[in-house]
Amino acid sequence: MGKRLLIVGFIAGLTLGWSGMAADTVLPGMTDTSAYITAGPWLAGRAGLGDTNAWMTMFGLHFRYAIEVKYADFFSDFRVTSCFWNPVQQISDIESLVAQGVDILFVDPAAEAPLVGAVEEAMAQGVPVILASTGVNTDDYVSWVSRDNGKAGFLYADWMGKKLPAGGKVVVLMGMAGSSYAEDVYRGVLQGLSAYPSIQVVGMAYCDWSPVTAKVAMAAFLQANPQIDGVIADGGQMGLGAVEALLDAGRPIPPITADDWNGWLRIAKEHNIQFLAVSGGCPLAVTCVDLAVQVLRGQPVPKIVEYPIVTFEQDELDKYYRPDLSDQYFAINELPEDWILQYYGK
Amino acid sequence: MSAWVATLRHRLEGSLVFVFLGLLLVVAAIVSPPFFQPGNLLNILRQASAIGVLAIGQTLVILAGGIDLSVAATMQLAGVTVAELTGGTNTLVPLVIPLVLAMGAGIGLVSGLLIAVRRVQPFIATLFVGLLVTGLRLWVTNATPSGLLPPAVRAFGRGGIGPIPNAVILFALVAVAASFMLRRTTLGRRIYAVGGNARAAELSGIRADRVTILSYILCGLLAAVAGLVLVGYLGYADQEIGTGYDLDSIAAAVVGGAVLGGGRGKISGTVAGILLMTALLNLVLILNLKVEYQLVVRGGVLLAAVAFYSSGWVEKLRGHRAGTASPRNPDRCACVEEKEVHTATRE
Repeated sequence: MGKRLLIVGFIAGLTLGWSGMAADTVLPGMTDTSAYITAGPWLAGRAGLGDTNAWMTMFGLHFRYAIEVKYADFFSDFRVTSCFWNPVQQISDIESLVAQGVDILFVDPAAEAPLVGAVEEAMAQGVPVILASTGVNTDDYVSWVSRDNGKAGFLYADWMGKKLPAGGKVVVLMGMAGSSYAEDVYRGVLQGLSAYPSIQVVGMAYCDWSPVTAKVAMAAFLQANPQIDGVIADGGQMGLGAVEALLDAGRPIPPITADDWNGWLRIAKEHNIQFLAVSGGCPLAVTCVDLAVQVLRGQPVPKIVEYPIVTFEQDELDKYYRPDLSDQYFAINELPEDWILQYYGK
Repeated sequence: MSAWVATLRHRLEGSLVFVFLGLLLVVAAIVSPPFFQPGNLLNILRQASAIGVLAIGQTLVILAGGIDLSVAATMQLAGVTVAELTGGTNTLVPLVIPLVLAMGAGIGLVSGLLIAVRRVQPFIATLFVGLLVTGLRLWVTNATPSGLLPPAVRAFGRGGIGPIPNAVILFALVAVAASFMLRRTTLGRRIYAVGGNARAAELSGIRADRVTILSYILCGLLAAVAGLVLVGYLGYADQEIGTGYDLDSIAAAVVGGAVLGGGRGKISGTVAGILLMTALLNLVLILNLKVEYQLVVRGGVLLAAVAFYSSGWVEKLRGHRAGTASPRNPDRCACVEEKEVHTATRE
């Protein structure tokens, strides 16, 4: 935790420290934004993936909160497009938003490689681009805010390694095969488990973050393995699927890794599950907007911002679980209470 | 000779998926003893139930010459609606379930009307109906549905009679009813007739538009049933569950021997197709194969199954024995083609 605070403090110090200095003194690791100084109020655009699942919905709400409330006086309008994970559509969306004259463009990329041309073209036309969450295979952007997904995987594995006795057997449930996000998390898991060589991975499946797919996979692993001591799931929805399979099989629920999704926290409370929750990082959208304000004021910003990961365990469950809210709420967020009640109140 | 070969061909074509399923079971017995544990076999049946009900609905549409790409959206809507309207309690279940089923049938009706009356291509009509349904669901729920299910709906997927899960019983009932309808009723014969040749069916006095609309209504209804089974299986109404099931349901029907052009296929084939796909997934998971090998094995086996239908290997056999060849295809006998024309509308 101390290390994370140090990193965040370092980033914040760099950002704030340089904000009052002349643009020509920009340090390595920072982006000179003097070319983007624009009189407000600004028009912001977001080429998004589509707020069609719980995480993306809260991610989108954080963008809206930051622009419509936190910086309400700074922005005239916020235009959002949804590509539904289709990179070709997202390229069109970026071109469309640039054509509409946005002053700042947020992109949560559908893929790393296909968007290179569109992002570089937007930058070439003088529109500063801030990447949110996933990156793009180019350095031609002003800032990229992301959670360290490899670190999240490492934290899962390290917690599980400490939790299990020597010779423990675990099942690993990851997101989508081939996605850079899921591969980063899985790489972190393998790296973390390498410190515990006696722990055996008896089953690994990519479940597309789907609870149904996770349940199907877990049910098969349970049949093949009389002993499963832990489940490393990248997210609460897959954790829920694993728990359902365990309950159906009449097996005890072992320690499980998950995230701060309220549905997971509900299940963990109902079944008294030992768990590690690793925050998904949807509030990083607010950080993106913070940076956008600095960019349009011409203040240097960090090229890469690692959004801090928050973790908590069963002993802090009551602090984070909100029984008064829907399952789709995420506990680690920066939304004001009135927004939370409006969108997630039962 | 030709009649004997045609009969053999017909029977083998209808049974190929069962041959593959049998081979898979033999291989599974050799490489993975846990596969044959009763618990695992019941798991496979239970996992196949929701997609199986969906695939039966899809088969009805395919037999009538159509295709339905809105079934996954209908499933998701059914699951989310039952959770939202019941609030996770049993009180309103007797009202909500009929409403959800009617909603599914209504979505099918819209697709059917677009296709039969407005002559929109089935692919396009159902694709956009699916998009519309998804959009409305996200709009109404703000993409944050409650997800909590009433215990009565959970029973669709979790409870059972003796060792047999309710979902499996429901799947079997739907399969038997659909098979009976296709084999023994006028509607079933009309579905084959319209799928085989809609123009010829109309000339025979069949209202092809009505048959088309009815097939989509049944498909939408079964998609809603499948949605309830799936959320019951999971115990939670996640809004993304069922994503990709539209293509899976089409694949199951085709693996089971249905022809996408319509007029040919059987419910038993679809059931075997879905069991083949589900058992294959279960086997590669039990073997803990790496994901790339999982995909190669699953893709390879299913491709082999459908390739046998397309290659006409039985016809080749006949060609060699009868010694006569079709002018269109040297490996294909003219009399078989002629026979197909006559049998296309009666399965």
